[in-house]
Amino acid sequence: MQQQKSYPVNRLKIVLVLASVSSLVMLLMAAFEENFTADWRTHQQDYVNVLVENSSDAAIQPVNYPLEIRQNYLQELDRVDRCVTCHVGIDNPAMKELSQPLTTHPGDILKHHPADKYGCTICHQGQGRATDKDAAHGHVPFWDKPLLVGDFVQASCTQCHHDVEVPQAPVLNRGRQLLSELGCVGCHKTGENITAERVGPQLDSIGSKVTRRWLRKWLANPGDYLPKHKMPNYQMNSGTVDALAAYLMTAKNEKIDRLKKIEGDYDEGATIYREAQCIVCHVTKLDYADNPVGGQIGPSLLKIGNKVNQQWLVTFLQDPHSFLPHTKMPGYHFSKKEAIDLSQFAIEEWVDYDLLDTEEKEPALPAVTPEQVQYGKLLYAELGCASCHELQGLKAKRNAPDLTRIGSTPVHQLSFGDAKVPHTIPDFLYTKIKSPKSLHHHFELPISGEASVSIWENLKPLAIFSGTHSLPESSEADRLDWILKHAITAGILDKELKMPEGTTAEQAAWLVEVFNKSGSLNPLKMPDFDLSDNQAASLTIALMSLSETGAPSKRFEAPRQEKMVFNPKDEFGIIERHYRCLSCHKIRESGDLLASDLTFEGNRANRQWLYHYLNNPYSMRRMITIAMPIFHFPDEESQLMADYISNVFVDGAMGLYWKLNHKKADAKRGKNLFDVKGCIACHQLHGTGGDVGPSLTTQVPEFPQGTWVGDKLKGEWVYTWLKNPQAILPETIEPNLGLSDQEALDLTAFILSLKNPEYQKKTAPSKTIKEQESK
Amino acid sequence: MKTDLEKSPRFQQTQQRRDFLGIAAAWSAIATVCVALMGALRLPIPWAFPESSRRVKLGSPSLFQGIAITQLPEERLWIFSDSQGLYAMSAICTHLGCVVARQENGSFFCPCHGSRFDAQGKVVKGPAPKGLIHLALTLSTDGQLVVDHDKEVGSDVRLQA
Amino acid sequence: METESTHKDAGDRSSHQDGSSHQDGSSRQDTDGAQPPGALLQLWQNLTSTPWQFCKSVVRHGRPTSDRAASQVIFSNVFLHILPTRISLHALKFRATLGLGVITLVLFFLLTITGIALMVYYKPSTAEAYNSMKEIQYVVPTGRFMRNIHRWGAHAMVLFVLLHMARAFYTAAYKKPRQFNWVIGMVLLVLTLALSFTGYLLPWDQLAYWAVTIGSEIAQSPRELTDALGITSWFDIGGFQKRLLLGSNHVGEEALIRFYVLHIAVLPILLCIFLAVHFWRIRKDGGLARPSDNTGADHLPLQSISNPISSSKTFGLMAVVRGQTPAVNRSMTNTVPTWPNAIYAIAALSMLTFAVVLCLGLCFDAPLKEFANPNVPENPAKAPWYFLGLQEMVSYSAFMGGVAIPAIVVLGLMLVPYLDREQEEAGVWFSGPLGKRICLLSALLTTVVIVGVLAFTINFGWLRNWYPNIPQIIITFVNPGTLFLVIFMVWSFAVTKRTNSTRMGALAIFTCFFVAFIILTYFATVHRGPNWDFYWSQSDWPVH
Repeated sequence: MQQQKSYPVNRLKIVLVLASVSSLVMLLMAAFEENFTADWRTHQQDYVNVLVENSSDAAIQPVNYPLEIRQNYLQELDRVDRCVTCHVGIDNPAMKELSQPLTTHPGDILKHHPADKYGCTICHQGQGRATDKDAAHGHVPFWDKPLLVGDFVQASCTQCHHDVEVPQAPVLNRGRQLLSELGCVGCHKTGENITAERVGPQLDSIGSKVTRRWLRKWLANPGDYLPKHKMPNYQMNSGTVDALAAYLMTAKNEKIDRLKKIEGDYDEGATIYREAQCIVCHVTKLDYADNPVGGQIGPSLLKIGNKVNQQWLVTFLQDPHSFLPHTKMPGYHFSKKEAIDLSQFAIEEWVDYDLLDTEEKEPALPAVTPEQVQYGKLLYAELGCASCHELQGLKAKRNAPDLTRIGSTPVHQLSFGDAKVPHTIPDFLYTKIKSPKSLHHHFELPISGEASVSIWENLKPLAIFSGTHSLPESSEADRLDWILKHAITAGILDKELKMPEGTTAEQAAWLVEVFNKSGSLNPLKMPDFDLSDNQAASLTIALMSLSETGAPSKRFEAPRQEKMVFNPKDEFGIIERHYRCLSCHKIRESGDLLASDLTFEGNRANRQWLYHYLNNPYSMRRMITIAMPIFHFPDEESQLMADYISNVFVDGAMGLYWKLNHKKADAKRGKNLFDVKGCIACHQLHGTGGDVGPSLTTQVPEFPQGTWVGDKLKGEWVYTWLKNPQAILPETIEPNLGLSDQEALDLTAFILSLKNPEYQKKTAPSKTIKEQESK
Repeated sequence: MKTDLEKSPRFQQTQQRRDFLGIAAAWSAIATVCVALMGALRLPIPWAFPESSRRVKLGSPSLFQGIAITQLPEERLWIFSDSQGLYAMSAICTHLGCVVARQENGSFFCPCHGSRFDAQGKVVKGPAPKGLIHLALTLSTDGQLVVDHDKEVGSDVRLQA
Repeated sequence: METESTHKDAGDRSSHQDGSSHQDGSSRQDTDGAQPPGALLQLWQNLTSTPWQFCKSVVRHGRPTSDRAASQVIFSNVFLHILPTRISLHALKFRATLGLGVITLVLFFLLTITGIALMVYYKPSTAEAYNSMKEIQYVVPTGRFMRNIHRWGAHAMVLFVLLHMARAFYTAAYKKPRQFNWVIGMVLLVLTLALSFTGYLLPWDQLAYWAVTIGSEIAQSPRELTDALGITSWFDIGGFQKRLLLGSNHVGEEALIRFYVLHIAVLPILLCIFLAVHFWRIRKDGGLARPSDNTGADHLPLQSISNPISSSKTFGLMAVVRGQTPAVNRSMTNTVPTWPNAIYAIAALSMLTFAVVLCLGLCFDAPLKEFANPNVPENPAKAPWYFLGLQEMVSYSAFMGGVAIPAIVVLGLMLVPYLDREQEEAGVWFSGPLGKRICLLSALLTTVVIVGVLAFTINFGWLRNWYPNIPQIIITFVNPGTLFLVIFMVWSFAVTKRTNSTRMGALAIFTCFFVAFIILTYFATVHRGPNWDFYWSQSDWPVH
């Protein structure tokens, strides 16, 4: 080894040792972490422990439950869901009491969508392939379909269920209903299951209906007049309001204008009001605590006298549907005299005298200028009023974003503005619906280009500038001054503001600052609908269901339930369309449940009773004064309706057992049952009893026949009802007493024996008028 | 006898002291490499295979009770129901894995190499080394019949359901 | 039963009385006339001594306790004999090479192993690729680590290959006789970048998809020139390049398979071939570049060797070869046996690299963005970091940034050893104090020029902002990229003239290029946001 220089090789040996040992340690740590510390092992171990604890079966031993990754491998859905690795007990009913992740799936959804055929992520989203909690729940960057919990899961139903009403998805259905009711579809495209009718009244006669003063107040804030108002508050400034009002008031109806004011009979009007039962749909009085009393289906009428002029009201009452094509108002078909009397009553009864006084003291409104009208027309188009209101045939401009696939929009394409809101689709939708303007983006002047032009472009169209609509051709400083002056005139900015000294750049910046504070730059057009949290949540879910993912294959599509529409072409149909029975009654899936469901009314009520009832409606319950409105049907129509109902609205199979065995029924035993089962707790009998259900011995002195339950109902229906009330009316609170067949027979016999003795003497004619005449 | 070459200094053996550092360095490096390789060898068997679970739900037991023999071709097995309960028999021949066919007299015949099994699955003839396998049947927590394709049970085992 | 003792000492030629086999395992008539064992017994003895015999047949030399034995370890091993049996002390000094070449090689080795591991699960189809990445991450044992190591190793390899190139340049390791090896090195650089780029697409996520879309558009950038010249209809080299790369007109299934084939087969094979040549040339060119020993034995002209086997050398066969390589007749001063010194050096560096990459792989997960969605462009869509400087240039002119500048740079670098042939001491960083100063000045100049031009273009735009109708061909030739090229070349010429040395000029231009690369990469990474607009930081990016 002579002549050889030495080389510090020991240093290298040390480096090698250290590097090797640290690598070894890291490798072992990694192996340990991978194989032993996963959370899912803990969860599975807990599950096994619970199983072993709670089972007396010796076969259940931990050795039979190896800890392993579990998955649902779904080739058709192109998914692998490993949720069941932690959520081991998802289909084990015994785990109901435990908390997540071991607890059982709520409800019976898994019965219809077993996890091994559907997986979990198809409804709940999230990242199925992951094996740790945050990644699996999708709460990691770059996974834009995070977990849906609670009601939000209902947004996924529509991938396979295409009905308008999706079973077991009440929040979704409510949301879709809201989408129709609130008129969203007027501005936004929303897909096939939302009806597309204009939800506001037509405005062609508005100039003859209201005063300009009222209209200005309404446009500025609808909530002042109607606490519960369908039209949202557009938060318009005074200039916009003036222009719109000016324009709208030009829409006049000559016929109404030509009418002379006639004084009607207040008392007659009051009677008509009571007969028509307006209170069912409209708020018409306040109770002792000043709470509104009445229905919320139509607008409140409490200040109608301040709003409409009488001639219009008279015209309206004679034919509401010409003004409101989609109204649910029944076909009262008031005569001219009735309309005059009723409107006299309305105008005198429902007027706020304080408001009248205040308005008299207000200064006169400035005259309307032609430019205002012109600009009002422009604004009408810009703000999208035509989406909800018919006016002079103007078409709705659907300028609002297309919502047909809003549920699957990439999140970074949504404009959150400056709002401090988590960047997810549900948060965006909810915030936008609850307070649309909060997603407003602070306007910033671009780096290059002229500030005044930029500001001007973003101010339109909510500003009204009398004279010209374009910036004058002058210096930048002049233009900024011009903008400020006109903004003050338009009411956008405070009168006291003055342009500060400085360079044009500084002035532009100040102007932007001031405009930003007032929220008028970069205006967001969607108005505030003043929705409750629940309504906003339902709407959010309905919108989330509008996404581009469809059912993966035909096999997964749920069969569509065909919805029957009741719209016969026969004489009954003519009557129905005339009086609009379906506004209140449900007949074979069509119509509403304000009143009873008439689908099987023929099984239920006697034909003769029906005939008399139509002419003399009365309330069946002691505590309730509201009943069917008095339409004063011509006799032929009542007869026809009674016949039709008795013969057409029947189910031939209902109550067959009663029909075959009613001879074996014993009314005495039935009376016993009545007492023993405690029916008197909810029903009235001979003046005593509870007020929950209808009285069984209602007294209606003027009624041409008996009004007791035995006079009214038919045995086949009573028998079926007593055996299982929920089968006929799912939401009834009449309990299912579990009666045997014989018991039901007896009880029915007892019920039917309750006939009003005063009317038993008279023979009730059971033949139709035609038969009588033919005698 | 050493040649000149062999006498040169290059051929001289040096007195080596035990090079502890060197030995430690070398062995720690070797150990690390071995551990790394062993870890890497774990790679080819994933914790979850990309296929359906081996424990398959077959439906309610009432579907099978009372019916002497139900064939489930997509699961490649038969469910038998006798007086003592239910049992499942695999249709996969124990020779080389072909699917056996049931004959009219109740016996089973494998078309690939001619193995024959009797009605209980015992091998009667042919290259098959043993009888058709009975697969473990259990009940799932939601009351369905579950077969475990990876678990074999004796031919006298029955599930009471 | 007779016991067998095994022979463990080299050179022990004694035989045992019980007739066990000779050192070389054969059984034959012994010289001292003892009776040989019967054949059956011999068979048994052979069987029981097989393990030891097996070991000896693998490792033919004994323990490396002497210099010669140490040489033999290296020389007779198929893997190790790429190294010389003795290695210069200079080469082993850390500051001579910083071990960059070794690190790069080790990284390549790691990438190969982890790459093969990933190949077991990765599926190169647009429908399956992304999902297979997720499976690797979640259900494959060690999958997450393999992937992370592969990703960070890939970035590291590109980084270190660039650093290694810089080191070779600054230590004048391209001078004669190493000119060709420098060219090979440049080829290796291009292959490494190609490997990294082809691998980038494979996860099929948003990052991959859009980065490759950008890359394919850059491949098409010659169109800028052919369009301006009006010859695209019959000479569309740009379109051809893009379609060749993608197998289609858009990035899709075809592109994925092509990139996969390139990444796992074609490019690695090419890389291995060129690596083999690279190492071969290192040996033939006399080992790592270093200052001359004071023996005067270097650079001798052709000499005939009269005494082929000298008693003071045991280098083996090379001693009798005539030729140009200066390793011949090299004296032994300033060298140490490769075994164990260089082996320890390489082992230590390798293990260190492994440890660092392992640490990165354990601590930081490689990103996987959303599934590739052609309808949702990333904004900004950025190329991999090593191409970001080019992307900045591309933002001014596609042809310049995509074709011309890379070609000029690569070509220029390859030409350096042929343009600068001054003889000097190799292995001296920056070729001395003058060189150091030149490099510093070049770095300063580059920084000023680049920052200045960038600031200018950000505030005032470029030609099209002022003259909207200007023909594109003018912009192709008058843009920041060409500006930089021209300025650096002028500077380099000035330096050459002023110092009267091509080496100094080479140092100048290389430094300019290197610093420019660093600054532009940094700039495009940090300061370019959506729409390739300038932002001071990512927090200023508009949210949408």
